[in-house]
Amino acid sequence: MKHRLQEKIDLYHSGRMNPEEASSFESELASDPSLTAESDFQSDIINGLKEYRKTQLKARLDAIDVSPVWFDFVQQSALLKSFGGVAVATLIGAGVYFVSEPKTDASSEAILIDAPELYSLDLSWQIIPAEITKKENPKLISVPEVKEEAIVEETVVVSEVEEAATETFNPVFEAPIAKEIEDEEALKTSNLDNLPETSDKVASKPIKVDYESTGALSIKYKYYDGKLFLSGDFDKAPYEILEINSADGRRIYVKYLDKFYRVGITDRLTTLPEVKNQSVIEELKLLRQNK
Amino acid sequence: MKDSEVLKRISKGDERVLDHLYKKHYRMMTRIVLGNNGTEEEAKDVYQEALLVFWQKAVKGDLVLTSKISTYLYSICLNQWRKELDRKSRLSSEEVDGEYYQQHEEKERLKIVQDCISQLGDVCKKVLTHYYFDGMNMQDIAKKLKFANTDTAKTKKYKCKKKLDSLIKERYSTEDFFD
Repeated sequence: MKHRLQEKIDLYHSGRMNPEEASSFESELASDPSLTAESDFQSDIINGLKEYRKTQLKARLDAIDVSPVWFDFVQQSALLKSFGGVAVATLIGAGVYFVSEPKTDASSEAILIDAPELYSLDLSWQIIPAEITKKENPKLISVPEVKEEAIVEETVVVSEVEEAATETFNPVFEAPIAKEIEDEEALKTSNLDNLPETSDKVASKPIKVDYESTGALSIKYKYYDGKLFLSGDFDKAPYEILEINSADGRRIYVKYLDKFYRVGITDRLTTLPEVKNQSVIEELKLLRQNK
Repeated sequence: MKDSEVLKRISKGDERVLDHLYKKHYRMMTRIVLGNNGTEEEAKDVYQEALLVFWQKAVKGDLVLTSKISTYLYSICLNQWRKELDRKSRLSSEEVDGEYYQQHEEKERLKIVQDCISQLGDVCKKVLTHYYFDGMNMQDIAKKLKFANTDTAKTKKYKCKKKLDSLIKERYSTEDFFD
């Protein structure tokens, strides 16, 4: 067989002929039985080579573990979605129950302190680091449970106590609100750094944090059932979790690259909303300074 | 990995991209078959075939995507599975004896060819399968297999093909199954 014909057969069976060339070659095949026999033979070989390669690539694909990773599983599993729905409904139900339950608001009642001497009054408070939470995640910053209203009231009481230094009295004060403390002087006079923890009412079950560092510019999150999942470019800069426990409940914020973000409850991967409220930002900065 | 990056890497014959795509879209693609009376094995087979069709077109560089790769793969899977269902229904309603013997003979010939391919050296196998299955041109084969130049690749392909032809011819005459 001439080399030119061999080449034609090769081009025909490897799909490298244009339609006109292929049509012309098929006419040649029809009129030449020896060419047809050789073409059939080459067809067997080329099909065999194709099958060989296909088998090779399929074996490669078969070796790949296609079991879903956690995130895909959560996204795709209808069962888990149902569980997620039930969990969120339960959380909302529990939230409604506790909110609607009549409160015995300790912060609105006056706290009586029996102080035989002025100097025995300990009007300081302290921030107790949430050690358990920190152990779980070094990036997590936990702020103690503080009765906000109690702190504001306390600053007032301090001045009253100073005025009445010579009198025997039972000072009455109420704890101030943390949100309203923006004045550095108020902090100094009331010696807030040594104040005792003012509330034990709020549940302080530490949140579990899991994260995934991606190249994405925005931070996304999911938070439900005490579990927080973050996704963002954390190789670039670390994140911090700020947790405020008050009589109103737990508020969680994320600080990342000088910005604060509010964490709400959601089981869908959502972009973290940035905190724009200046007073809240100031409050968070203050808390970070005092951590 | 973006679609453009996937296509770029496949055009260079980077098989790791195939792994990436396979894993990424496995659930979505196999669901087409599983949700339409197919088994897990059939679903996997259809998806693998579809992915290899995509691979062949992308390696040749003659693929112009007007949609996302996942959409393209999805449509191939859907068509493959429709064809398979058609084939099954034909098989159940037609006389298949003649077809069976024809298929049996083809399988025998294919087995001989595959045996002979496995007797070749690794480089020969790669040159020939890259050329005939992947549809790579000689320049890309030379680059991928680190040959000195395109002419070296052409010579290698010619010699390997000749060797394979002679091995198969020898087996065909021994088996004598054309009679």
